[in-house]
Amino acid sequence: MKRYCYWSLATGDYAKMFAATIRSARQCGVFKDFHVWSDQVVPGAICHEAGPVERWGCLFKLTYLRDAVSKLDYEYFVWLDTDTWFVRNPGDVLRVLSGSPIHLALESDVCKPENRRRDWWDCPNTKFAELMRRRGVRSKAIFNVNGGFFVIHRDAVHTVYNLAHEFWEFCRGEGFTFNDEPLLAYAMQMLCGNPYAHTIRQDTGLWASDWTGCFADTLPDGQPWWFVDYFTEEKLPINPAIVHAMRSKKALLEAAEPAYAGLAP
Amino acid sequence: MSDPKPFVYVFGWPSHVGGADTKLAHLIPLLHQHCHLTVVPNERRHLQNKYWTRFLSRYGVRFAMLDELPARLEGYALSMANQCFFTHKIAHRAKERGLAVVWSSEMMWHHEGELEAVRAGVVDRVLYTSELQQAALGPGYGSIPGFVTGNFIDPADFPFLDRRRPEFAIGRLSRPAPEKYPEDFPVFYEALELPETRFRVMAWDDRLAKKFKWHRFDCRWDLLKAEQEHQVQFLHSLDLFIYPLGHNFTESWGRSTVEAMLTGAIPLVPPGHHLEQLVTHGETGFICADFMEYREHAHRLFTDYPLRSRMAKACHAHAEGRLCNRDEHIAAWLAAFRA
Repeated sequence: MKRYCYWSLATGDYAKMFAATIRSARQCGVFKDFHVWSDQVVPGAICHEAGPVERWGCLFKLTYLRDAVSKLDYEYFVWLDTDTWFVRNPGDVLRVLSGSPIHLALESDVCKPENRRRDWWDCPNTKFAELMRRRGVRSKAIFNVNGGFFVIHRDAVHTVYNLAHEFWEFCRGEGFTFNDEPLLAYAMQMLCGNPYAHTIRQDTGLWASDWTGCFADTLPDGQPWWFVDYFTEEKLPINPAIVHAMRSKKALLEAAEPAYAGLAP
Repeated sequence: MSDPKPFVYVFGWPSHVGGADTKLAHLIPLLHQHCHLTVVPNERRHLQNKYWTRFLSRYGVRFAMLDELPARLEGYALSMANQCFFTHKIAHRAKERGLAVVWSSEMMWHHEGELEAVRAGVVDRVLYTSELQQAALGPGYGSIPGFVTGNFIDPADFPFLDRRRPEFAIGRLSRPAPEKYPEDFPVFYEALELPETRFRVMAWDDRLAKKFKWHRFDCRWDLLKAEQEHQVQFLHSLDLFIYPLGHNFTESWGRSTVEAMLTGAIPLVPPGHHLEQLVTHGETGFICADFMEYREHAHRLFTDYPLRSRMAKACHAHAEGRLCNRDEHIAAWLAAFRA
């Protein structure tokens, strides 16, 4: 069994963006397998038929993980959002696990009094912290996550799915119908042992999301940039190998074009 | 003049495994001079178990199947977390013979058939291990008289050991119920980052192995089956009793924590359980509301031997003198029978 693979689900233009993601990885000397569930051929990827996809809330990440990805012969699965760009080889991404069966970069503590933003996905911060604690999260800090990158051990897939599903049901009963991110934040903080070892501040060199658009309409270039804390708006200097270039979609589509050169239309 | 000692028919069987059966094993020596005790097992095979029949005889306790007892009885039918008591209508038959039914769930939930029996008027009194359990279960019992009788452990069975040895060990002892373990249990222990520390767990079974199959247990771990070591030997091997719990489970009392304290293993436990009433934070262990609190206190106890030694002795003294005070437990039980 191989140690890990990257995977995603990408249709339409997102499939083309993921071709750019893979191309950037290969240019950095990353030769891990990239699996993609898609409606088209994605150059560089091992492609699987996606079938109809319910896109609401990105919950397909969890259902595909349980129903399809977990059948692949790898010890760990690394999800990438399709608008991702490698600026250098990240090395062994499993280093961030610290013994945990799951890793998402824990970004901001929703409980901080200095937070300027007061809610996450339309849920007040204090309420979100209360929901997490009522369902067993036992840390004083309650973190949010970005769902653009996560690592899961194959034997923890069903546990993660079940935790996420239980939390979704519980929160829905409390009047909050969440997308993938609060669910992943919950599963992560239930399973990771020491959440403080998984904060984005602990590893600024692997992955981060350029949600403020430092590289808007351009591609990350490997130079340091400012990651902005979603809640406090504090700026953190950062230079991760893998950038969730969520404000660079047009540039990613352009970067994908060489990957299609020579492919039959 | 009537005999002042109550007649108590205990429906169950003592054991060294399982909370309620272990509780019964300690209750018999506690109450045998104050009550006329008869133990009534669910199954006849128990009466062939020489270890426990000798144990009962030693304390002058009778044992028999219900059908072997007189058709009319006087006194109390006591049962603790005995699932068959209601599902097999044992409680109903005991009541028909004239006994007042005294029930103790021991858990934070109602057992199968329990509330139906309550509604049918079968149950005359209920016992609680703690106020926390009373708050959770009391509404289901309505106006039935209730008494908090706690959980007695004979301190003589869990002698104190002064620990000073090259190898440090943390661990836990509980029935092998997956819900008692937090989802991150093995990585939680390892993430404490205590140097050269052994991780010891009893009782481990296939269900727990399945729950944590994502983890690679290395040579630091001892995963022992139930009774693989004698309880006391196991607890003596631990310096710290670190007892994080699953998110769907509430500890109504915390027997293994008190057993650990009696032996001098220092408990680090979560809030939100009766454990908060057993451990005096900073004196006889720590209540930890965050991973970093577990980590900080575990490291402090690891590096500061005088503190560890002092706190271990305080644990024993508190458990023996306060939590397992024989006279107080006898008084609580007799109050429940005499009220």
